[in-house]
Amino acid sequence: MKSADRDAAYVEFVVSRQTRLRRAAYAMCGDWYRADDLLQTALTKLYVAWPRLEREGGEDAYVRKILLSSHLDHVKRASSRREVVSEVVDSPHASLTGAADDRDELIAALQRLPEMQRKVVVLRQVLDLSVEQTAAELGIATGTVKSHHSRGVARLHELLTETLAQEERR
Amino acid sequence: MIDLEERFERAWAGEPAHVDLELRLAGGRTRLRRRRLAVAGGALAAAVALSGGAAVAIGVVAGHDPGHGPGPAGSPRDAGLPRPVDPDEPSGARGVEVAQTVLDLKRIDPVTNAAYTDDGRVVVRPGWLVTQKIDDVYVAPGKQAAIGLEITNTTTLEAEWYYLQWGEDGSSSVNRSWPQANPGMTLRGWMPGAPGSRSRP
Repeated sequence: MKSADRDAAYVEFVVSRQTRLRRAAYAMCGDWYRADDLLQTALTKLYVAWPRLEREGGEDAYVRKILLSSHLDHVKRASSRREVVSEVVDSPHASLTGAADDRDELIAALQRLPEMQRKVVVLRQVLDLSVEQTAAELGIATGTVKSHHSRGVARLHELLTETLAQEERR
Repeated sequence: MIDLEERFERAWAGEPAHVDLELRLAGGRTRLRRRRLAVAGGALAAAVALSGGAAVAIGVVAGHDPGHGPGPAGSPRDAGLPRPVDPDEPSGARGVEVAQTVLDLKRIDPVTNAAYTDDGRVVVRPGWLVTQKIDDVYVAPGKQAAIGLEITNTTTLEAEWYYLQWGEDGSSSVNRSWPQANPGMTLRGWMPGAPGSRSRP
């Protein structure tokens, strides 16, 4: 495959997927900049594997897998370094939109879900994968996907309702 | 009942712009180039190992004392051959050295703590650890390499960010910042081309 052809096909793929993929990364990690790092890591690896993947298929699954595993790697590294955010002096994201508060509530609530529940909710709600696709992606049974999804969504409702009630009391 | 779909849609409202597509491509090309170099390095090492083995075999056949031939100390492993680089190795584990010669130290500007050497190595001042390294960064026209680094002082634990560029003609450029000067931002976010960068090197 010529380099120009490879690049054109890759760019077409990236343009059509990058928004949804970054949203999924953001939902997983709760930080737009970190999400962009995760996406760039995944897309960089995708470029290297592109000829094989284009020949054999599975580009979407590959990039999703890298995205999720890169996030997990980061969580592990951060955990081993015992990173602590002592104070958020100034969030650059807050100024980006008036909807920042709503976003933070939902994304913050997602961060409080157990890892597998969060993955299932993100794959189902953000990336629109079917139960079967999600099961294949995570290597778990379809029944387990359904269970994680219903528990995750129920917990999200609880957390968001709590937040809403707290705001109303203020 | 909270409408999750609607909440997600609202959550995306403030997302920053995407990185320029050319930068996405540049990251991929850089990684591909490194991988090819790693494969070539591995093949070279294997070829030299094979030819070294052949030389030993020939020496034995010709009646040379093996004790004076290439022994363990002269084996290809110890001959300074290029080690195949694994591009998936965790950041900070390879490619950056602590300056150990006066010449390398002179390459580091007195007010900074990391630099490219004339021959394209990256060195940090003694007393600093590489805590994050990003290889697939934007390389400006006329430059052949660039790297993003977060280094941490082993005494004060203060961290600094660097965006370094290097040209084959020995030219280099250094941009430095600090995490505390860019709250909420990552090293990659600070470097050129990142979406929503507030301070550009």
